[in-house]
Amino acid sequence: MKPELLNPVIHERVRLAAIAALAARGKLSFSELKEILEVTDGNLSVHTSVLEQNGFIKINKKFVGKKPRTTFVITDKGRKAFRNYLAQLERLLKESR
Amino acid sequence: MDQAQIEQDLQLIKRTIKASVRYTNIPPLGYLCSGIFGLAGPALTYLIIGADKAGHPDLLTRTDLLALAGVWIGIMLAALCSSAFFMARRARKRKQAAWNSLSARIFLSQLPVLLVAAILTSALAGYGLVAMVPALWLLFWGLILFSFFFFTGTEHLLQSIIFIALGTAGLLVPFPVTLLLLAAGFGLINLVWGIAGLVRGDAGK
Repeated sequence: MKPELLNPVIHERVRLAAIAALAARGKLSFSELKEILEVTDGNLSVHTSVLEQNGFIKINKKFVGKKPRTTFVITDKGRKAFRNYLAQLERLLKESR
Repeated sequence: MDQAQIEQDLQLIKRTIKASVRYTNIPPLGYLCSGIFGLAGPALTYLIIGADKAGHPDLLTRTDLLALAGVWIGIMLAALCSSAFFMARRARKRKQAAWNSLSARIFLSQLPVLLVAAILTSALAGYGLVAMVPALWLLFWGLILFSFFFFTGTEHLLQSIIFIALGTAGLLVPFPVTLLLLAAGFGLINLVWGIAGLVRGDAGK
């Protein structure tokens, strides 16, 4: 298997970590995900937008009182893509040994 | 992409998943309050039943048992509410929801254990074996903390070992001493963890 065949959307450090965290938890708030990934607000926004554009996560924005609250939810497509990515990594690892 | 890069990716995934299921939301002030209530419980128990009945728990009457049940339900609720209050306050500061999918999973997974502990407590009290109740509670709390360890970290594993050791010791000593063990477990351990958290500066985080 060629490494180029790895999903380019997930094959980026922040996006990979984001989708891994969401695969484990299903749903996370903006601040929870930011704390887990240890990234800046801007960085997280950019990468989660890419994941959303590709249908891997849903971004829900609502107001709690007067404060905005953003939550990320992994989609079925996102779960499937993450599982495939993991399987491909394992295959590459076997081939490289 | 070489082997080292693949392993790095897999390590990143493993680390992230571990971090995302780590629940470290019990603030030091929550521990401190629980510790104070944990000390108050055994002290009130001793005050209510007196030295004679503490030495001979088989002399406890139905009224004594009802009074003790009231005290301990109150202590449990007070500890729970104070911890919940400080957890909610910390979550608000962090702009997070205190009640999320993970906290719900942790709480719901422990409900059967709490229910079984309550049933066994009633049964032991009914058979006049009140002296075993403190040890039972320490052992059950040790089990609950052991389950927490899978969501949190090694500090709950350590607490779990201490509680199980105290509970085991509680099965071997007279009733007044088990009250001291109860105070050591629910009181001192929580206070120590609360103070350690404050010293580490966790309160403001």
